[in-house]
Amino acid sequence: MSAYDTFTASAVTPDEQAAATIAHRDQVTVTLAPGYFPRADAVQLERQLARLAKLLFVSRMREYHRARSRDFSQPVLKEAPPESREDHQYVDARARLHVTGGEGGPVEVAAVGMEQWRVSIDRGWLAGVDEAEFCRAASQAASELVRHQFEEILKLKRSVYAS
Amino acid sequence: MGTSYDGLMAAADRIYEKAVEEHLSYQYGIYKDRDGRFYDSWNYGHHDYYDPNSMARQEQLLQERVDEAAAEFDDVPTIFSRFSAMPDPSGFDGPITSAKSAMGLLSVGGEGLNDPITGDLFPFNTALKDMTSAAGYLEEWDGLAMMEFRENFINKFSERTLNQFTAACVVKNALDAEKALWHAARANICEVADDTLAALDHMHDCGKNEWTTAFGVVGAVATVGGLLVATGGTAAIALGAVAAASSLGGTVAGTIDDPPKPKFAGESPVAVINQMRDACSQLEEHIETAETKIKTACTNAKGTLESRSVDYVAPRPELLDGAPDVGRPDAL
Repeated sequence: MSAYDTFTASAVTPDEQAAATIAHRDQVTVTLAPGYFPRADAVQLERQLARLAKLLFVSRMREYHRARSRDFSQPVLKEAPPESREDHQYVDARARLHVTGGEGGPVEVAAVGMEQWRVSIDRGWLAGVDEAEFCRAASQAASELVRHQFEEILKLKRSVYAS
Repeated sequence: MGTSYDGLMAAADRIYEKAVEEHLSYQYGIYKDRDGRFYDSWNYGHHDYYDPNSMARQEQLLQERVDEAAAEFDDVPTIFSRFSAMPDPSGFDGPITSAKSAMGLLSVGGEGLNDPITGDLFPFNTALKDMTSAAGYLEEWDGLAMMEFRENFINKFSERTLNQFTAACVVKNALDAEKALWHAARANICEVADDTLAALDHMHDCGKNEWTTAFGVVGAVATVGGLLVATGGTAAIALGAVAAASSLGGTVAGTIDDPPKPKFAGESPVAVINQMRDACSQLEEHIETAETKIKTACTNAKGTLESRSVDYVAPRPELLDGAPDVGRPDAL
């Protein structure tokens, strides 16, 4: 089995109140520090999750390059710069790619180019759930976003690098 | 990953199967179910219930697409099979040992001789001193035959033996070069297989799917210059040679070509397999170039030996030709 199939990545917010792990390519698990959920309001949780999502993506890409290094038996520190016309087209379009997760659900996550992140939490729902249910919904929304990203990347590569 | 040479054809089969599956999912949304059967995920369950032939046509289209994918990549096992019968590097160990034995037997000179290419020391073969000490036994033998024997055999023995040692050194290092060539070639084709499997795995991620392959077979064989052979008083001549690049360490210099490290990239199964085909073609060319390097050096050395055989082997004595002056008998 390749390193790509088995690598995991984790991230923690700077204040250590929220953490997340991604495994098996698209399985995200969100957790909160003990005691944080009862005292955080919706706006704070949205900001934490948005910050966490960005940190998790950075961590994930770092582990991804390590997995590439192992699978190709050569050091890979970062993505190679675009060279061909198709490469530039792909990179430009990828930077504008809009993906979502948890649409229509109590926790919605959206990203543009995996750089700009937005999290929306249903206030009415939040008032009636416990920490475990909140983390479950956040994890599901994040996992859906990752799958959506993979689907859009596949479509984009197919259209740009058609062979 | 880490495909071994013995597992090369199994890796080729994995590449073929993965390329077919990825191509079908990438192009048509066709996947394999748990039982290994292909199904069309984009049109699964979507057929015209009022058309009794709709499902049959869907099945036929599915099969056509599966057959198309299989045909697209069916040369993959054949390509790798061209590399599956490369010589076993360990098969050169016996001849190398024999050549080293010959060098040991020819090591003339009190301190022994160093292989000028590798620097390895071959201790002096003390049996050879019997020839150079034979001069003492010839004091009571005079005449033209004695003078010619001394001149052609005794006086030139060390020089010719040293030249034979150099010739054996050329053979031994050419065998080393062959062994290194095939060791590197086997490693290179396994690397191509591993890189192809990794590229098929990583194709769909966000980043550019690019990799490099170092063709170490290019740097495995070194061209050696400056192996001098004595020519009986006139200027020494150089004997061409090759060596395993990793064994260079003697007094003569070797030229090692830098292994090329071409970049490959592919964002679809067809693109990745095309890059694999290109890598295999390049590897075949590099193997042929390295083989030619060894063959050319050996052919040139053989030519030099044949044209200057007197520098290596004493001429046939003329004792039985005509009426040679074999000297006078001792006074009674």
